[in-house]
Order: sequence, then structure tokens, then C-alpha cells
Amino acid sequence: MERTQLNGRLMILKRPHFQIPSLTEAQALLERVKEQFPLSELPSQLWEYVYYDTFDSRLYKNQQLLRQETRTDVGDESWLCWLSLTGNRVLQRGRSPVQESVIQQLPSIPLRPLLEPILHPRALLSLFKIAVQQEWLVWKNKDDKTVLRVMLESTQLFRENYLEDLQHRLIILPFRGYPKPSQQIIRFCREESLEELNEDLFQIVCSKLELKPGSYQPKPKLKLSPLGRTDQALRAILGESTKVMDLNHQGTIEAPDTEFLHDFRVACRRARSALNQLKGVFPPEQIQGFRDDFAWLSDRTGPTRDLDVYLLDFNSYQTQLPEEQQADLEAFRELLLTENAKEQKLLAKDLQSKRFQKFRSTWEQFLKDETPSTTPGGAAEVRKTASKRLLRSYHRCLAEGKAIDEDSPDEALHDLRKSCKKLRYLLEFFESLWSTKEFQGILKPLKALQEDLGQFNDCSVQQESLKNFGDMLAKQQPVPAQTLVAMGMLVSTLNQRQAEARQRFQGSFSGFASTRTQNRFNLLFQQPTVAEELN
Amino acid sequence: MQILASYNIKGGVGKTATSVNLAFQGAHEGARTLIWDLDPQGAATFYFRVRPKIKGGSRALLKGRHDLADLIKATDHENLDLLPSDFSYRTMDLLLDDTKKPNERLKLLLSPLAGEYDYVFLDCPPGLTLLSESIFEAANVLVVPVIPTSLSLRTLKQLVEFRRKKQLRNFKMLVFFPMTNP
Ligand SMILES: Nc1ncnc2c1ncn2[C@@H]1O[C@H](COP(=O)(O)OP(=O)(O)OP(=O)(O)O)[C@@H](O)[C@H]1O
Ligand SMILES: [Mg+2]
Repeated sequence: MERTQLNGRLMILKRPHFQIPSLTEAQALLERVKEQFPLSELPSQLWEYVYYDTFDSRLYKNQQLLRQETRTDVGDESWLCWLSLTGNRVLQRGRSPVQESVIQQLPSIPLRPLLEPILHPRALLSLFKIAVQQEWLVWKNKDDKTVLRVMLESTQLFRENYLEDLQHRLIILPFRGYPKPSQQIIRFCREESLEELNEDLFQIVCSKLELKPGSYQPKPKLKLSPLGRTDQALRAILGESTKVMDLNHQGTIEAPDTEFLHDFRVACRRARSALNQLKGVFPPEQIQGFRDDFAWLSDRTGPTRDLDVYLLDFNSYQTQLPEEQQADLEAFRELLLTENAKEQKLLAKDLQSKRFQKFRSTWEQFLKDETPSTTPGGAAEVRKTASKRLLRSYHRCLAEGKAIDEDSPDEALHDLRKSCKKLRYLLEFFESLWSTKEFQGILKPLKALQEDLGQFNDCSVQQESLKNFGDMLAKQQPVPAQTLVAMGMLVSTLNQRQAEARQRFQGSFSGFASTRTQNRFNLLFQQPTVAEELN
Repeated sequence: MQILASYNIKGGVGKTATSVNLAFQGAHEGARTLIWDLDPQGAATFYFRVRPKIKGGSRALLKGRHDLADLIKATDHENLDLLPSDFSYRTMDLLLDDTKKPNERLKLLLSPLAGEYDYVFLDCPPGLTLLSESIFEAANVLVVPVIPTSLSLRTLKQLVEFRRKKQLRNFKMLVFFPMTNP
């Protein structure tokens, strides 16, 4: 019998699936099967299957599926079934509570530890539901032991107001240690010229519903044309970010997990950075309103995101403390959860407010408007604009970094971090105008520098907030003294890590400012543009 | 993979009933479960209507001539597989005596199954033999059914003594009365 090595450890029986064109043919086939083999019928069963994945299709990208199978004719049986996307293998099946949205609480044994590393921190969302009718046949040997089961599965897709027929399949469920019966039935199916299916229904339903699992990209790769106008390019850049914002808007309001907000916020920041950095592309009066709107959004999304980050990192905070003090932080967690819920509510309100709707509709008009900008900056060739901005941005980072010595205040590093971020955004916007290989050489030292500056900044922001949260807790009655002590210890480890990041800074900055990197920047961005070469 | 042995030096105290029922319950909840019937009487194997026979018998098994995985039979219950008994298991002790490090044999044989099952239940024969010692080495938990008779309690005492003397620390012991009403 065919066994397969999966993930290098799980050995799972394949369950061959054969397609049957119609219900009448299915019934005729069942009769023929029963004539040829010692199969007896069991009562038929009705089920509903709901398919789940994360918003960014983590299971699908891992070649896997998760579906909840719920018996609907009798009883209250419900299972969570973890499947391979192709090859028709059940990786694991665990009983689940019968509820619509089970999935926030995965059954603890044994699926949870296997799925969590793949899913974290994303939530499972339901994708679609299908109705399943199963006709069962069993094959028993002369000891009355079951050695094979065969199932005829007829499926229908739940549409808004009706059920759409999907497929009839004959599914062979081999029994380990009893290979012959399944071999015989499989041979029979092949002789009947039934088509063997190698995939779950998932793909079929996705194409019917026009779902494109795995297509979501939080940072879409832009393709700009080098000779195009800057105003067109900027609209394209802003359009891509806006798409990402739209995709995450509802999820940010409902917040089944933290990543909708994260991606929404990043997309906002990118759009904002593009608007602010590429000055003069549109007349200022045309975009000033939008710049205010993006500043507002950035401001409004900040608090919830910060609290999300604390909560996501909470376990690592705890493990930084000696074991006997870890439990002391619980009061802090409670505080974070309460504040987070509060902020999330406010954010949801803002994202459904009149102001947001007005911004979104005027912004749409602006993006769709194809009238060329009246400014010279708008008409300029995009590669030229990009080169100029990139060089200027790089030299600014250089100057700021070179001015930093051991006595510089923390603010100097924070400012440099912001400048580097701006440079990084510019590089990402205009990446498609240059060859990938050339680009990697300048991205790498920048990324390394950003890594250290990011660490430095995170540690310092977190110390600050820990102190603020400490003040909030200190006002509670009774004052949770041990919690405050534990938080104090955290502040000092953060302080230590911040100092380490600052030490590493000199090293990563010297890579970023090396003659080699400087030459690379100058060479790439001082070249004459394509149009000049042609002249 | 957790290995749970249903064990008592004394016979007829409910070892097989315990392992079969716990294994069924685990599988029923969705845990991938294997039950290994180590008793040549083959009571657990009989319950599942599987033939009490393995290719090559104990000798081939202990020599590692077959993959344990190839000897496994699916039961009629989802998620529950069985490694059947074989009459030749009655000579297991003699054969173990002939192998190097007999205590580690069972553990070694089971180790390739680690990715396939969440739980393995060992249905043990009565007695305190070399096979028992190999079981002690492999198990994470010893489930010990006892009945409230002086003879049964005496064997429990023997087991506790043996565990202490040999300093067997790798398994937990869960002792319980299966046949009394609470
Ligand atoms: N909880 C219980 N209540 C009532 N009867 C039980 C219970 N558990 C087991 N029995 C009965 O007791 C008898 C012995 O049980 P079982 O075969 O499980 O014991 P065992 O320890 O495996 O025996 P052996 O040493 O022969 O392998 C059987 O007839 C069984 O049906
Ligand atoms: Mg028994």
C-alpha cells in the first residue's frame, strides 16, 4: 500500500478519488461495484464542510487545507480536518466543538501544536461552505473485520440563495495492513475509465467563487515605466498602497487578528511617505488635504498597533524575567488587554466615520483622475526624479549618521532611523526602474543599518511606555507592587539591549557609508537617463 | 508520542480492558493512536477481530527484520491502529535475553513511529520479566489497574519496590481500581 513521507515525518495513507460524471452514473456504478465485490451498504450521511485559512493563505501556501466537517442529519458530530492540498491525504482529524466560529479555539489535542506555528499570529477565517452527501460501503473479511471502506461523495456549494452542484466522487479509504481490497477496487475504477482526481474540491470552488488564494501581497511589486511621467508614477504608487488599505479595511475594523491593522498601517505610511517625499509633483493645494488625512490615519492607528505589539511580545517579556517573577507581570497583561480593547473600539469608529468616508471618496477621485499635473515636477521623467530624490535622501542619511558620536543624544539616532526609513521607501517605490542585481548591493547595507536602528528605537520606546504603564498601574487600588518591580526589571534589560544596539550601530553605519556603497549609489543614480542617452 | 503501558504483575486485573478503552477514547477524540498487543494470549487483538499473527514472529521482530510500521493493521475505528499479538510472543523473554541491551529493545523498535502517532498503548502480559523491564524503559506512563484484594495489592507493592530499587524514573505511575464502583 502506498504510504508517503510528508514533512519528513508523517506517514499518511493516500485516499484515491475518482470522478463520476453524473448522479445516475454514480448509482449505476455503485450497483456494479456491489456486484463485483463483497461490499455492504451503510446508512448514508449528510455533512457540511467549511473551509478555513488565514487572510494571507498560510495553509494554502503550505500546500494544506483546514476544514470543519459537521454532521447535519443526525447527532452533533464535528471534526476539524487538516488535509494536504494535493494527493488527497488527511494529515490529521480532531474532534471540534460544534460552533460556527470554532476556530478561535482550536481543539487542544492534537491539531493545535501542529497548526499554531504556521498560523501565528493570524486568525483562521471561513472561506466557503459545501453540503456533502455520503453513501458508504464497507468490505468485511470472513472474520467480520473491516478491510476497506468506499464512499460516494456528492457535493454542493452554498451560494447566496441556492445550492450549486459540484461533483460526485468515489473515494477509496484503504485500511492499513490490508492492501488487497483497495488494489482491487482501484483497478476496477481504472477499468471503468474513471478519472482519478489528485486534488480536493478546494481548487474547483475557488475558481467558481473567483477566490485567488495566495495572491494577497502586503507590499505589491510595482512595475513603473522608466520614461513615464512622474505624476503617473506617483499615482501608481499611491494606487497600490490604497489597494492594500482597502483589502485590510474591514479586517482592521473587526480585528480577528492583529495583522490587518499592521498591513493597513504600513500601506498608509507608504502612501504618506510618497506624498510627502515627492514634493512638487502635484500642486500643493491639490494634495494638502490628503496629507492631513494620512497624518490623521497614522495618528489614529498608532495606539492600537503599539498595544498589539506589546501583547504579541508579551511571552518574550515574561521569559526575560526569572521564573519566579514571571507571573507578576499578569496585572500588566490585564492592563494591556483593557487598553487595547478601548483603543480598538475608537479605531473602528474612526475607520467608519464620515471623515474617513469623505477622505476615501475624494482620494478615489484623485487617483482616477488622469489629467496631467500642471507642475514641472509632475511632467518630469520618473527615472530622473527618482535618481535625484534617492541621491539626496542617501546623502542626508550619510550626513546625519556621520554627525553621530558617542556623546550624541538618543534623538540623533531616532532622526537617522526616520531618514533611513524614507530612503527605504523611495528605494521600494522605484525598484522596478533599475535591475534587481544592482539594487541588492545598496539595499543590503541599508537593511543592516535599519535593523540596528530599529532595535535601538524599539527598546527606547518600550522603556518609555513601560514607565507610563507603570504609572497607570501605580494608581490602581490595591497597587500591584510585584508587578511594578517586574516591570522595572524589564526596563533595565531593555536599557541594556538598547545600549548593545547602539554599539552595533557604528559597525552597520560604516557599511552603509563605505566608499563602496557610496560609489554604488552615485553610479546608479547619477547616470544619464534613458532619454538623455538617446539624444 | 506518548507511550502508555497498561501493566500489572498480576493477571486478570483489567489491563487489556484498560488499554483498549483508553486507546479507543484517545482515537475517538482525534489523536492518532496505536495499541500494541504484547500478550501472546492476544486478547486485545481478538477484540478488534484482527488475526493474531505477525510476519516472522518475535524473532524477526526483535532482530528488526521488519519495519514495525509494516506490521500495523488498521482497526475498524478511525485513528486507531493495532500491532497484533503473535503466539511466538511467549518466547519473547528468551529472545530478549539473547539481544544486546534487552532493556532498550522496545523503545528502539518504537522510535521510528514517533511522527505517526500521538499515543501508543502497550497491552502487557502479566509477570515481571525481561520484557517488563523493556516496557519500563520505553513507557512514559505506567497505567496500573489493581483490584482490591490482598494478592493484587501485594503485587503492587512488589512493583513499587522494584521501581525504587532499580531507580526507574522515566515513567509516571497511575494506579487505579477499574472494577470498583466509586
Ligand atoms: N472495569 C471493569 N468492570 C467489569 N469487568 C471488567 C472491568 N475491566 C475488566 N473486566 C473484566 O475482567 C476480566 C479481566 O479483564 P482483562 O482481560 O482486561 O484483564 P487483564 O489484566 O488484561 O488479564 P490478563 O492478565 O489475562 O491479560 C475480563 O473478563 C474483563 O471483561
Ligand atoms: Mg490482558
